[in-house]
Amino acid sequence: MSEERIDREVEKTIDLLGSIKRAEADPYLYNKVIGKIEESARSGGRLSVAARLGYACISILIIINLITSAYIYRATESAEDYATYQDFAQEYNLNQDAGLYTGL
Amino acid sequence: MQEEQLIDGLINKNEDAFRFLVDSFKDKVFNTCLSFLRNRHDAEDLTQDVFVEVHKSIGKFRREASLSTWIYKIAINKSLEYRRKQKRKKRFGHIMELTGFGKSAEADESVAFEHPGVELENKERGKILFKAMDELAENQRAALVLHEIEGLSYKEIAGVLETSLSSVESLIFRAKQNLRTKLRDIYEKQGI
Repeated sequence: MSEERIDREVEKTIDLLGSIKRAEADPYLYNKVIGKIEESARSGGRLSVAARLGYACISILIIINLITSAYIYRATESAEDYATYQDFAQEYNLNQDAGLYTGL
Repeated sequence: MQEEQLIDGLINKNEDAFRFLVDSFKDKVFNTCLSFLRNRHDAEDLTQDVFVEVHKSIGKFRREASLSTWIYKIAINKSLEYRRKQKRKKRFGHIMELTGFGKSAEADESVAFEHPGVELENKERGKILFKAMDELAENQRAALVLHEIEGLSYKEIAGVLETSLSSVESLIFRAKQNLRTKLRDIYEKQGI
């Protein structure tokens, strides 16, 4: 196909854009839209129950997470305290003294 | 019915006002959706969704633009969203097919789309036109559809696409340039 002919075809096709007539929408569109609105209003209630369940699950998860975090934090803190006591005891040689008091 | 009156009626959930709105805008919305989706059934479904959205969100309408601009904006956004969802679904289907978990993809109706507003003698040309338009960037395609098919002015398009007048001019210019390139490719491949 010659370049000229391709150009002509391209221009004819582009010109078609301006001559496209409006297609007619469904004549029963209004009733269908009202049907959809009513349906979404009905399912809105069901959705809120589902949403409430979702919120409840998320809340439980958050509580479990908080309890676990608190437990881990406490465990770490007491381990740190123990390490501090150990350091303190070592620094002042309290371990040997403790032996004296117990008569060992 | 005056636009202000119509908007007040819609906000007050007046049935007559809503019926008037649907009757006045249904063809405009349907044609906009049809130009994007290239499938009559999907376009009808999406047109319903646009009016459901209008009914639901009319309270948020800030009367800065015209009602028509706002409705076109909803139609364009919903059409683009639908197209993206379709593309994602197609990609996922293709992956499932490759991995052997899915059936082979259904024939794509939009490939051979015939716009009902194209005259009989131009049906084939119309198919090629919509195929080429489908490959344009989203904003270029939106501007082209609104200007050439819906007959909106540059100013109105600027309102719908929330951009400047000069951007709309440039979008339409680039859309036509790209459309020419894509059409040329198609005709060269066809070898007519």
